[in-house]
Amino acid sequence: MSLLKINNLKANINGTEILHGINLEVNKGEIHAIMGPNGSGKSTLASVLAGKKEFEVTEGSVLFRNQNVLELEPDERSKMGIFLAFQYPVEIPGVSNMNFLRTALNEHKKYRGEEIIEPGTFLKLVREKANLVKMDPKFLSRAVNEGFSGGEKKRNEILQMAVLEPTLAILDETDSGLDIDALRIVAEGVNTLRNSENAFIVITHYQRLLNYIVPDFVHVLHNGKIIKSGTKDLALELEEKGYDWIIN
Amino acid sequence: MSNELIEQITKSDYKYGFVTNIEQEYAPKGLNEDTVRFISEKKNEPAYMLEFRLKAFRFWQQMKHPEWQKVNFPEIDLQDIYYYAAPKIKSKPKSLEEIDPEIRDTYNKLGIPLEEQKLLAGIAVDAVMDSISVATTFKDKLAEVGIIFCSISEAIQEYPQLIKQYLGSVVPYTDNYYAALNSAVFSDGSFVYIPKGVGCPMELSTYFRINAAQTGQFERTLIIADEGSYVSYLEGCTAPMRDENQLHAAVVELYAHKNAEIKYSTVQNWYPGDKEGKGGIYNFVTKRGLCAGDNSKISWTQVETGSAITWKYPSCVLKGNNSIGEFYSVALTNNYQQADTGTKMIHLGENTRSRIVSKGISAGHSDNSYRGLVKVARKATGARNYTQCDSLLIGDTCGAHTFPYIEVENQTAVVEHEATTSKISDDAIFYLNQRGISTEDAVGMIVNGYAREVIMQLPMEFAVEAQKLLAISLEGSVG
Amino acid sequence: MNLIENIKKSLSENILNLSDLEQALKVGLPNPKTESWKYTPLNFPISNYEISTKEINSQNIELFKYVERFSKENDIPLYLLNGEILNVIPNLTKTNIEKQYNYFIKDFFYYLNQSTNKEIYSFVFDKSSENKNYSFIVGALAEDDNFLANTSLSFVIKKDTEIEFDFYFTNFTKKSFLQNNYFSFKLEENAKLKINILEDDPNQLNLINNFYLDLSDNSQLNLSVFAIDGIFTRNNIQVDINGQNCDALLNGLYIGTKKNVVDNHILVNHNKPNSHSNQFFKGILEDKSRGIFNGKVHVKKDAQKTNAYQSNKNILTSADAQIFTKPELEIYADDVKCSHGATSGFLQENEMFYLMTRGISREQSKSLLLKAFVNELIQKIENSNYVDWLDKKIDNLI
Repeated sequence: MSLLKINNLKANINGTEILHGINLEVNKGEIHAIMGPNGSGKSTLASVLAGKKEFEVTEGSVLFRNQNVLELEPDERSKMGIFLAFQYPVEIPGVSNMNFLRTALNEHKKYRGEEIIEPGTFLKLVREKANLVKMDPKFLSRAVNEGFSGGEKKRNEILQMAVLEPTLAILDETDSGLDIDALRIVAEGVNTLRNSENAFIVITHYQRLLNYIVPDFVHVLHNGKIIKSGTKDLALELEEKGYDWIIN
Repeated sequence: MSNELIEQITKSDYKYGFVTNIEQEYAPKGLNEDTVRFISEKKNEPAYMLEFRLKAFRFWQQMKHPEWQKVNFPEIDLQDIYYYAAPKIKSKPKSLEEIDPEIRDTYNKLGIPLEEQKLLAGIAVDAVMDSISVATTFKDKLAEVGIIFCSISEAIQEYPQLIKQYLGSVVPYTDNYYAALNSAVFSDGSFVYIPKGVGCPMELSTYFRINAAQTGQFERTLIIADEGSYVSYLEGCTAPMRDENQLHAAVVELYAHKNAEIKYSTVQNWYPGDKEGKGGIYNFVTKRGLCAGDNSKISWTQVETGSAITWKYPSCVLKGNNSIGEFYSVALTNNYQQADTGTKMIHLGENTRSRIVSKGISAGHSDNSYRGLVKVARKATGARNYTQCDSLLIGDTCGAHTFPYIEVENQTAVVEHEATTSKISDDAIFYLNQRGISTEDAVGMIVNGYAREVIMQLPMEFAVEAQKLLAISLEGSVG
Repeated sequence: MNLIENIKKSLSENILNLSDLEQALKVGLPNPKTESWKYTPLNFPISNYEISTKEINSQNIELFKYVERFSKENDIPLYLLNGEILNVIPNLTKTNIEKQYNYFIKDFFYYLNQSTNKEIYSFVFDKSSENKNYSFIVGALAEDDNFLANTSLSFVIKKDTEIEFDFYFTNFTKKSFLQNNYFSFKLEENAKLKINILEDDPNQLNLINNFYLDLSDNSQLNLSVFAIDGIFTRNNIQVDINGQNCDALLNGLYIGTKKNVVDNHILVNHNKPNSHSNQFFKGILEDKSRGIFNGKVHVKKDAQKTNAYQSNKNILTSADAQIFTKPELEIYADDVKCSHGATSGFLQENEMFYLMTRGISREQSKSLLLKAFVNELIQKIENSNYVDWLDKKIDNLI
């Protein structure tokens, strides 16, 4: 069943068009990988889906659960179930991870008409989830991402994903800057959360991550357009031959 | 940040702007020697107090209004305000039950119940409305350990020895224009004496409320911590919404003897004026602590969100060897508010230490200045100071300024000052948005995170109140 | 005031701006109530000063030493003695006085300077002036005591021109001398200017130096000021960033000895967006000297994306030395990165101890550590002659 439908999406920043008409459909239960060389528009696509204001959508539509989300604020999209794991998670001094996550979760719960979660219950939940990404609980009392290493930041992203349980998670180069152990932990987190009701878009530069998170489909983004789609074998082929053979 | 967003954030509403309808008693409008005599007589003061007031008044008459501050306001017509306004009470209530229900209701609305049993455990309150103290709770319990906690009027009557010895000993009436004025016309305030070796078993607190129109509030607070004692004192302030500007010129004196510690916290939420900058309180306050004895410590913590103009520098004079002064401040200005605030750390004794953490937040069309002085005198060998001074700007119609004065006359001193300026980044807001947190909440969260280091210094109940206050002061829609 | 009377007496009316002299008298000398002079005492008898009318003695031996130093190929020295230009260099023209003066703070010294400068010299430097060593030697050769010189110059650095100036402020005599100097610089688009200012002279130099710099789009300024010796030194340096993508680096080192007063007042105005400025000042205060630093960054409403930094570090080496520092920020734009820091400290005993355990004497250890403290600044100068000279100077002092 269709979860996300992107139709001829064009977007620009400061007057320069970055996305030149993207078409993509993601169904529940699927994992899609988006690959492509630097500057192809991968991160732009992720930001536009999450609703970053710097980007102006000039054409096309994005249907998420059959609703056009392009007019919605970023927090509304989040509460509908879109999650973006940032390539560069932001540091927010003084705001504790715990407080931040509980506020976020309660916003989601309010949106769904559920009871808000009590601090005690939340603590239990978040400890459980932290264990999933092998994160030391002491990070929970620290300020959001402040002074975290690259790998810790990425694990923190996956922890947030685990707590918020989105229906569509977009992982923007989550593998960049990770060593092999961290990569495996992140991938395990994703695989545990994966089920028939949600879907993932994994944006990556390298095939490496896809050994751990096995995609159903692989798309190659180049110059703001998807120029080739295939199965996981396409990723292997790219690894072997590079991007040139498709581009030229 | 987009303009609409900034506009939304900077539109705030003041929740304490109601007026209590009670009968008030006034001194005739205006200021002259008769006003001073009237106040003294009204309060049935002994001769020494009248003398103190008149000396201050005569000195004040010779003074000129200062001009160095970075705040602008039209000249205040000091003849056009009432110097004494008091809720009409036939006789001072003997118990809390006798308090006028209207007044009691006022403090309930402000979240300050005066009935002892309803109070948050462990906080004794002195409630001051306009010119007089209307109630002091937990007095008896404190008296058991020898602590005096009462209104300053009462102290003038009951403890003349202490008053004579300490009143004006930290802030002499010659200190500045408003200190002189206060010394002449102060009407009430709180008095605290902690005897030798006593750690005060509960938080002491004064809640100041300006109610009457066209009235100045000139309260006077004196806290004395005798050798080896400890006290934590809290101060809260609100006022009704009025179109006029009202003057609040208080004096607070802290006196710490050997090995004593005083912790003074303020959550200041005087009416800041409306969105066009009309009305609001002029908060011109002199606060100073003297670490007179060796190893004494005075710590100021303030969260300032109110007042049309805030103009004050809670200071520490570190006279005793090894004494410590601290200043933690969050000053938030919005709309047309102005703040020129900071501290003075005067190192006189050996191995004295001071620490300053100042966090300014400017929004709307406001101006927010940190002004501080760190002075290491010639004999203050081994003195240390660390100052951290940050500014956060929301929008491009406000200003943030830093004026730190550093004067070092001793070669062994180590003085460090650091300052940064930043804004709330779009990236941080987007990040929080992406996790489902609305922009308004995101701003509140980021601002509270930014101010956390200071808020953590406040006692628990006040910290919670301060956090809410910061969020509310920047809130867009009325919640 | 004697000073004003002395000037009136010694100069004929056709070279004197009487109204400015009156104005100086009206404004009066700065005093401790003047905020910008709060900590800066005039520690010399200014009111007894006068303008010298005697002829310049060009046989002075000290002057000779300078002439020798600047006689290499590509050296272009300009001698400004007693407020007058002694020799001619290329690019020199005379200009209207008004333009030059508008920017400066109108205080006593401003009117004093203007009163004896009806016309001022202006220099225009373009591409053809590049790759030369320009040195400006500003000094005194009078045989009178308590003697005042008002110097005023204006510079234009044309578009795309890259140039370096060395300024020397000195006194060739043993007489007490007050220099009251006003220099303005206009950097056109994409111009690059490097200025090294050496203020040194043990011979009774009292110095009031005003530098005003106006930066256009994409221009770069790299200014270093070394106030090494002198009874009284006051530097007012103002940079107006009136273009985008400018870079202004201001470095300073001051060393106070004896009862000297050394004061740096720096103001950087960011009037346009996307520029960067950095103030980096260090001071050593010895004996009974007094140091004053006042650095100010002013970011206007439209100057978004400004990066401005400021740092002032001081070491006091004596019980009688003093430092008064005030690093200020005034910010009206929200998307900026500004920070400042100031410290005052003394030589760390543990560092001293470490060096002494290796057999280095206390005095030598102190000197080593102080050298390390100042080296950071000296390293920023590329002119090796200048560095050697400065090194020697500093060695003598510490």
